[in-house]
Formats: sequence, structure tokens, C-alpha cells
Amino acid sequence: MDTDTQHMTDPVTEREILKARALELAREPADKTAADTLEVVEFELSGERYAFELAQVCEVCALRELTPVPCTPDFLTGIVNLRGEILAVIDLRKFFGLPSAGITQLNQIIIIEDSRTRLGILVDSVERSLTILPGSLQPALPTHTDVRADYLRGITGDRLAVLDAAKILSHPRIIVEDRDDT
Amino acid sequence: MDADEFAKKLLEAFTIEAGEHVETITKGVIELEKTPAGGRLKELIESTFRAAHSLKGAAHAVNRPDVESVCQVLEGVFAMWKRQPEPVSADDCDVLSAAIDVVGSQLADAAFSKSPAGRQAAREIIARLRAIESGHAPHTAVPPATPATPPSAPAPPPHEHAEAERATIAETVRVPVAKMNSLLRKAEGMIGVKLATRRYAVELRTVGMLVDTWRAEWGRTRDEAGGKDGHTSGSAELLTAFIDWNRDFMQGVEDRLTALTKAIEADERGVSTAVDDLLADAKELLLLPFTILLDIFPKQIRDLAREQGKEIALVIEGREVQIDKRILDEMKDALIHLVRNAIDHGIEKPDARTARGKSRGGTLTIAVSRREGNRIAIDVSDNGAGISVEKVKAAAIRQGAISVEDAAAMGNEEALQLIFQSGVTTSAIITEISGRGLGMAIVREKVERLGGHIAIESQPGAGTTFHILLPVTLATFKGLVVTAAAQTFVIPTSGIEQIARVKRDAIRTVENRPTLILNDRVISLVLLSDVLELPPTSAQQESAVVEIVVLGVAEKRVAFIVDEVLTEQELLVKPLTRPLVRVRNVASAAVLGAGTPVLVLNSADLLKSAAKISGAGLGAYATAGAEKEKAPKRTVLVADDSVTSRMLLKNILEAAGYLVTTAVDGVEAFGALQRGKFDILVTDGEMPRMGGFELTAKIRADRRFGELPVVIVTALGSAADRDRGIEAGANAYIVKSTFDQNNLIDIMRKLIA
Repeated sequence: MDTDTQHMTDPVTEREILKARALELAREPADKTAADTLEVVEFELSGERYAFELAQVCEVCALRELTPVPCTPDFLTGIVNLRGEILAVIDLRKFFGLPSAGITQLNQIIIIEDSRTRLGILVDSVERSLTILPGSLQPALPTHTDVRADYLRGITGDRLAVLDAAKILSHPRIIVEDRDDT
Repeated sequence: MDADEFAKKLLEAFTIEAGEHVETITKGVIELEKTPAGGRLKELIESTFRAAHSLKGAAHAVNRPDVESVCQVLEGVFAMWKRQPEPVSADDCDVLSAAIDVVGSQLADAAFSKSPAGRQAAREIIARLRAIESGHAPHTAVPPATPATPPSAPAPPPHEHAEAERATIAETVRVPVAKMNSLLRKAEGMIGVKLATRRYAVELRTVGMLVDTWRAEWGRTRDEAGGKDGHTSGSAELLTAFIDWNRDFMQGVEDRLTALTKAIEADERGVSTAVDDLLADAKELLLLPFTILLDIFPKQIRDLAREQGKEIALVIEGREVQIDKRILDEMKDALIHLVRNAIDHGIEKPDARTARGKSRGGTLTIAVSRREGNRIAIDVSDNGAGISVEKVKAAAIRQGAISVEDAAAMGNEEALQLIFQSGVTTSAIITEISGRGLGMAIVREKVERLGGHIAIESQPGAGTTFHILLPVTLATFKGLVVTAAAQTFVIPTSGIEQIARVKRDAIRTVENRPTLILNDRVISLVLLSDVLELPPTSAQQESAVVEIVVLGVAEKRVAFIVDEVLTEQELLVKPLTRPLVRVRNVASAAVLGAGTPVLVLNSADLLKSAAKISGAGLGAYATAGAEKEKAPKRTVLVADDSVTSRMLLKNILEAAGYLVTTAVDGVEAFGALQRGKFDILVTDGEMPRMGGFELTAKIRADRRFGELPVVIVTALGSAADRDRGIEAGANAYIVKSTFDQNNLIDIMRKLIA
């Protein structure tokens, strides 16, 4: 009873509630599709096709000047100046431990981040963004024993490897922390 | 604004306000302790009372009963003093100080009050405050176990304690409206730049279109004049007409381009001043006076001094000096550490001081001053016991940082630097706040990461001073731009001792390490590219002159060979961020001219890394140098029965430019002296067949070599041995255990100048 009267006497609260309800109703169909599909950004690296989930990608930009950083693991290609901020850029092939496959362009950077880490991924080219059905993703093949499998969300029917940016970002191997203990 | 957002804003405002009140109360309590009865005392009590009262009210408004209840009792105590003003005792001040700590912890973390420890702390402090209020009998009312250690007993764990301190530097910056207006005006000026850029783009497109028109016209003329058979009657006229048109047309294009160029050139000057101005203004917004940081010290020093039974006067100079807020924030812990160290290890107890003929109370001085070149100096000094070099050495040996031999060979200045190494602490007992030996290493790393420099000076018995030099703003530091392995790097100027160009043939190998004599001192030499684990460039191997950058102090200096020293300039620091948490040899990044990122190297790391590599990559240098002997050299005869000693001495002396002949004992040495001509003899003391003392005596007895300078280098260190050497006629006597190659060379230079 008490709460009822309060609703009646407070038009602001009432309107808020109605508005929230309306929003929720309006959003429902959208939610449904989002649950069923996955938007991804497809890119090419050494002739292979990979993708990141669109939601995990902050930005894509062209690679301009790259400065190598000595005394770091080889997958760390260097740093770039992105609008005044210094960003570490890695070569996924080396990070995955794949053999270097000939000459590649590596002229675009896909930037991924989580709450703590921000990272540029060097790629040959960013192809497009597309919608896939998560249900269609197959787990990595048992033959896929390489490092890549750890970072894979799955492989689509047409052999697009969808990577998990969060797993790359949170992997301890990605952190360069050279404490001098001696 | 919804309710949550409002509550958040309210809390933010409370945090700032509470910080200010706590500060006022803190200052008030410190002052109260020193103030005798009188008008000033009344004033102080009044202002402190008001701050406690306001804080109580503010806490109530944001529903913080924890803070409110402590403040209420605190207010009561001041209210009582208001009624009957009398000087406040040191014991009462202890309680007040502890109360401030509790409030500080509560403010820093609301969860603290809900924890058992927090509740306990609040209960205890309220009881102690009430004791003061209710009868001026703190001695009996206070829990007997903890009368003089307020911060440790009821207070939060050290971590939370530190958090509370951090909160006192407000995360907001107050900016005068005039400054904001000026900044806004300058930002508005940038609209002009935007419009101009657009105008130029349009103009350039127009010129581009004119060029297209010209090409079309030329194509048409060529087709028509050239014709199918190439000799149409009208071709000459057509061409003439085109040439006339072309002249006028191109004149038009040229005029446009000239006008455009002029406009852009004029703009360029204006824009570059405007941008620099704007940037300078924006940086200035972040400049804060030091007082914000220094204000935390009076209370802290008071509490620590009371706790340890010491009397310490604090002198602060240069509160008004302005520095970048970010540097202030970063330096806070480092300064706290230095101050705690000074109290813990530096200033002695009153009795000890009196016994040494000093005043009972020690003085701790924090002096901040502006230096040229946009730098700020902070000197933290105490007139306490000073640092015992011997203790530092012993601690370093214990830690395995240096060997016993190293320690023996080490000069005082160098040994003092050891305290900056992790693990080296001189305090006999590890106390809660210092003595763990990590502190000074962290202090140095902090300072250097900010582009600064720290040095120590200490006089046993007279005191210790730490000199810190920092840039005023984080954004600017001076760096030397060099290339190595065909890549550009920046070395912070603050760590550089010297830059030089040296002839390659001056490089010698000593103890399998390439070395160089610079300013009469032997310093070891490495390729910067080797230290950075990069392949060397061929240019380095070929040139006859190499450029070196000398880093480090005293005996720890190392010369780094670079491809080229480009320039020294002011740079913008850009911190490296996760995943690059800490990269060996790299301190941060910076941005050069057109936005190219460049790495700023970490001088301390470079020295450490240099010590680890063998310098093998430099073999080519040393041998190339050894082949080119030219100027007439001083000749030295070295007599020593130990192969190692002989080789070592030979190498050192050759590196210093002497021509060396060796002998295995006194007999062989005497033979050599008779055959050849030598400028000086360096001999071991104990050798088979004929020792150094005997050899010296024999030389002195022989007219032919009467004047030959003799240096005895021996393991025999006693005074009697030394006397024996002097008696025999030696000019210098060096004990092997304290052997220092620079020392030897200095002595030799003096003897055969």
C-alpha cells in the first residue's frame, strides 16, 4: 500500500519507471539478435585470415613510424606514437610462435585493450567487418597444437580463425617486466 | 542528475573539503604544541576548533558517522580549551595526532571503519580524547601500554596509513580564473588555425585544377598541331598561340602559389608561437607550490621524533617554489623515505648528541630552490651522525653486492653510492619504518625516472645531505640524442658525466676489458649497441675516432661508444605503459620533432648491464689501437713474481700509455736496468732470489740509477713494512689490498712528470 501511494504521488519517479520499461521493451529484439550473432573484424596476416570480435577492437589505424625496443621479446615489434600516446605493437605470428612466412605488408594496426593493458596488433590488412553465428564456431582442431589454440575462440566454416583479444591481453607472456633482482 | 550521480558528486566534494579540514587541524596541533599561553594560543585553538566542527558537520551530511563521532569528541576537547586556554602538553598532542591519523584512515577508506581494527581504533581514540576533556588527566586515563606510540598502537596497518597520506594531496587543482581566461583565449586562437588550414586546402585544390586545365589545353594543342601527318599548315600558329596563352596562364599559377607560400610562411610563425604559448599555459596549470607536499612533514616528523625520544627541529625553505603536480605526486614517497631515514639513522638521541658536544636537538632541513635550466633542487639534510663508510661497505659485502677486495679498493665517495643499491642498509636493527635496505634504491629509481638525479654527501659525526635535482615539469627534460646500431636513442643529460671524441688507438685492453684513459683516469668502455643487445654497425668498426658518452660517478664510470652524438634537446616524456611495465635499460619514451617515438635510456640500468657484458665486441678496437705506437713513451720496468700481477700491472700501465718491460724477480730486474733505460720501476715487495726492498736498496746504492723512482706494490701492509720500504729508498709504497689503478697512475705521473 505504502509504495503504491508513493508512486501515485510522485510523477517523476513514475515517469522514470515507465521510461525504463519502454526502453527495455524497445531493446528486446536487438538483444536477441546480439546473442545470436557475433560481429567480427576480419584481417589478414601472412596470407591467413583471422578475426577479432568487434567489441574488443578499439580502433584500426595505419602504421606510420615504428620504433623497435631493445631488450624485449622478439614478438614485441616496437612502439608507435598514437596521437601523443605511446603504444606497444606486437607481431602475432612471432607471439604465436609461427614460422615467419615470407614478405608481408604489416602496415595496419588493430588496437585492442582491456582495463589494464592496451596493445597494437600488426596486421597486413584489415579486410572487413562481418557478422557470424557463434554457434558455427568450431573449437580448434586437435591437430592445432600450436600456441594459437590458446587464444582461439573458434574457427568458422570457411576457416576464419576468430581470436580472443581478452586472452591475449591477459596472458602473462605479453607483459614485459624486467625487474633487476641481482 | 540522478540520485547516484548526485551522491557521487557530493562525496567528491566531501573528500576535498575533509582534506582541507584535516590539514588545518594538523597544522593547528603542531603549532599548539609550541605555543605558550597568550593571544596566539587562543587564535590557534579557535581555528582548530572550527575545523573540527566543520569536519564533523560535513561528515554528518554525507552520512559518515565514523568520522563524525571522532570529530565530535575532538571538537569537545578544543571547546574545553576554548573555555580555559592554556598551553597544550606534548602528551595531549600525541593523542590529538593519533586522532588525526584515525580520521585520515577513515577518510581514505570507508571500509576501514567497518573493519574490527578500524572500530577498535575509533573506540580507543575516542576514549583517550574524552580523558583529556574530562579531567586533564591523560596520564592515568590513557591505556598504560601505549602512552607514546600513538601511530602504531591504534592506527591502521602501514599500507592504509600510506593511503591516508596520499589522500592529503588533493586530486584537484585550483586555477585562478584569469589563467583559465587566458587559456581559453589562446584555445580560441586555434580556431583561426583551423580556418586557415581549410582555406589553404581550397587554394591548393584550385591550383591543382589549374594544372589540370593546362594539361588539357596542352593535350589539345599537341593533337591539333601535331595532326596526323605532322605538317598541318596551321600548326605553327597553334603553337604560338599556345605559347602565348601558356606564358600568361603559368604566370597566374605562379602568382597564386607565391601568395599561398607567403601566407603559409606568415602563418607558420604565428601558429608556432601560439601553440608553444598554449602548451606553456597548459603546463602551468599543473604547477603547484611545494608547500602542498611539505605540509605533511611537520606532523610526521613530530610523531616520529616523539616515538624515538629525539628532539628534532624542522626547517623548510622554498615552500613557494612551483613544480609539476605529477612530479610532486611521484616524489612524495621518496621524500618521506628520506625524511624517515634522517630521523631513524641520522639524528642521534639527545644524550648521544650532548656527549658528542652537539646541541641536544637535531635539525632536519628540507630546502627547495629553483635552479637554472628549468630545474629544481631539493636538499634534504640533517646534522646527525652521518653515514659510516665502513658500515656501508660491510653491509654491501654482507649482501654480496661487492667483494671484500672491491670494498678495500673503493673510495669513500663511491662507497657512499652503495646505499642506493637494493639490499644495502646500515641500520643495525630492522625497524618498522626503515632499515630494510630497499628504500634508497627505490628513491633513486623514482628520481631518475622523472629525469632527475640524486647524490649523497655525508660527514661522519656532522650529518648527511641528499641532493636531488628534478625538472620543473614532467614534460621537459634535457636529453642527449645519440645513435647506436643505426637507431636513435636519448640519454638523459642528468646522468651524463662527459661526452668526448677519442682516437681509437687510445683504447687498450685491461683485464680483458677495453679501457680508455680520460682525464687521467682509467675507465672501461663498452659499445652502447652491445649493452642494448643490438648488432653493432660497421661504421663503428671502421672510423679512427669514436664518440663516447660517459655515464656514472667516480670509479663506477663507464664510457659508452655510440655511432654518433646528434644533439642535446628538451624532450617530451611519454611513459611506457602496460604491457611495457619495465624494460631493461629503457626508462621511458619521448617524441622527437615530427612525432617519431624515441626511447629514453635508463642510465642506472645501462651501467649495470655494462658491468655484465664482457666487452668482447670491442676486441677489434683494442688490437687496432695496439698496433699504432707512435709518440715516444715513458718506459717502466715491472718486477713481480706472480704472472697475474705482472700481467695486470703491464696492462694497466700500457693502457695509461707507458712502454712496459717485465721481470720475474729482483735479480732479473736489476739485469734489465743495467741493459736498458727506464724512467721508473714498479716492483713487488716479496720475490724469490731478490725482493723489492733489497732491489730498491741496491738501486739507491748504485750511482747509475740513483735517481730512478721506485714504486713498491706489495701485499705487506703493516706500518713496519712501509717503513722498511721507505728506508730502502722507495718513492711510493702501495698496499695490494687497497690497490686502485687510478691511484697507481696518479702516483706515477707525479714521480715522472
